[in-house]
Amino acid sequence: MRKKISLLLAGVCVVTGSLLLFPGCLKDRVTGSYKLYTPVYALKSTVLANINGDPGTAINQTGQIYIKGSYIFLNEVDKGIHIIDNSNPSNPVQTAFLSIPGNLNIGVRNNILYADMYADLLSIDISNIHQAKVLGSLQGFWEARSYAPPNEVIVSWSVKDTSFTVIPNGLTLLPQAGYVGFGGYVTNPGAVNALAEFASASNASQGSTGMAGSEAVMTLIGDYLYAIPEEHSLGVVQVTDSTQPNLISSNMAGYDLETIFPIQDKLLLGSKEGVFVYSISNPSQPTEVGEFKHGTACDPVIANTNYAYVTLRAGDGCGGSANELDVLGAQDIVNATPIQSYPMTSPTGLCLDGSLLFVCDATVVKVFDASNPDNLQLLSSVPVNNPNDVIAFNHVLLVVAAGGLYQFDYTDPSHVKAISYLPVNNSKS
Amino acid sequence: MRKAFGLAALLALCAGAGLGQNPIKFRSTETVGLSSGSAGNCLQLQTVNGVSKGPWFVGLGAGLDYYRFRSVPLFLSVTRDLAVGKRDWLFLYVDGGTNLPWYKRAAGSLITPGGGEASSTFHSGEYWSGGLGYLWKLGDHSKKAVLFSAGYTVKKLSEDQTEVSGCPIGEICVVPPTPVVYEYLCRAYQLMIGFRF
Repeated sequence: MRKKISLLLAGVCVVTGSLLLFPGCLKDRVTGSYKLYTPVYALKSTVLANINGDPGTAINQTGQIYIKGSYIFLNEVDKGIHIIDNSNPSNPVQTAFLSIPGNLNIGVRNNILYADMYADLLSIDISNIHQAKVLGSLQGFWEARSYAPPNEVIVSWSVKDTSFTVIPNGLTLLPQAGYVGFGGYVTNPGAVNALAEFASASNASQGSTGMAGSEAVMTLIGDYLYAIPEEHSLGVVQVTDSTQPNLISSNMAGYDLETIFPIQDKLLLGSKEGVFVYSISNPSQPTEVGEFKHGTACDPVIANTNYAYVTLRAGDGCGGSANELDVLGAQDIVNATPIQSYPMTSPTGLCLDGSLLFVCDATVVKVFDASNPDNLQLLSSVPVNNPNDVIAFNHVLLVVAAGGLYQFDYTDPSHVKAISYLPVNNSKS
Repeated sequence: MRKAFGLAALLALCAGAGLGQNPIKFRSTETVGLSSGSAGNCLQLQTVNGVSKGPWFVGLGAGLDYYRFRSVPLFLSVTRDLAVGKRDWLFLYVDGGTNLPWYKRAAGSLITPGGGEASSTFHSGEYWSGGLGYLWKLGDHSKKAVLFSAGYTVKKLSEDQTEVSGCPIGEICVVPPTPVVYEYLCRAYQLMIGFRF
């Protein structure tokens, strides 16, 4: 009996020893899978010829918004621009679609629409929306978005499921730096161009422009288009001759630039860390005249003659942890001083209409009485899922959100009423 | 997962078919041991509780497994005891179930080739183990026993890694960041000592 037990214990020891001595005989395995996106190119000449005002099409992914006259221009991210007849805000009609691959930004001066097509800036005659025509282009202006050979444009992506296998060795927790991902970039998240009413008014004699939101990276003032072609630069394009947009300059203007907002003879360049103030007294040569800092975050900025309003949003790679609305005294915009901060949930775009301040915040658009910026009074919260930016004009509040384009009547700002809603197409054509 | 429970149920059924007139008794086994594989030797703890009838046992187990990624296996366990002597027995065991992740990568530890940061989310996978053990009963008619077992274990986990913001500030990606999905297959020898009662 004892012999049997001894044999068993010996066997156990042999097994244990073998397993502990040769653990490397077993190999773990890591299988990674991802979607490989490959660009599909088309000839640029063909793409430009096809920008002619197709019939209205379903909205799939909302981007920037811009209004001019009775029209709303809504960016379909990387696909083009929906043109919506908003003569009757309770019944907006999608009248046309400009198919512009890589488009994110919109600006309109007189009857000329300026839009980006990846790296190129296009000028498009929209006198007849259904017979739009590309008049000219400035190639390579949006320098951070050059992905294709000079005569080609990315028109779509082919997607292929791809996998690979790794046999990890030792204690290394795989994959540590072996992350495989696609990194391709375009400008400005589902945001909205901002063109201040001040700018529109002050430059009316030199050309009629429209109005946009607070997260813009492009704005038209008089004969000039100002834009952030990449995150450190301010580009100036003369658009006197719409058939030949003329690059005046594209110079280093700050760090981590996100938005551009015109006020009087100044441009406010919102960056991740603060706001750079540029004078455009000489429109062709913007000159830095000041800078004010705020906490690190994603932050559109707007202003009127007395106050500047900045929303700070944490996350999304913005850094920082603040989610708040900051009010700054801006009588002297060059030396703006903090006045008050208001906690928010996840604020994005904002706009002003007189003494009313509208702020997108996670699941609502907040309407404040900003008569006393030291003590903003919340008048109402309008439920909108993931609102991104707003334009308030003539008692109609346009809200662009992940779910579509909403319009509200704020004649009574304490009781904002829904007017209409253009939803996104969830089936994704 | 379904396969695991299906097989375990089948084994349990076989076990039932072979039962004699022995009474059904509650049984609990607590073990501590090592998972030993290419990632080294890592701590493993388990508790298995269920019912035995004669030489057969069916129970539910839960554990803590630190092999490569800390996880919590939840499994069905089937054991067959084999008499060697009055107090010393061998036993065979098969476990199958799910492996719940309990592991988080440190913030900022995943860096993409482009220098961006990636987020990580782990998901559960299958858990299997099987092996042979030896137990020594503390008395001729005692349920209590100390045991040693050696086996083989397979645990699976998956992880989604998604670029947090692969685009320059104020910009968005041409193609939205899609997760890279990693499937981890971890294979190790399993050495356990424990106590049964």
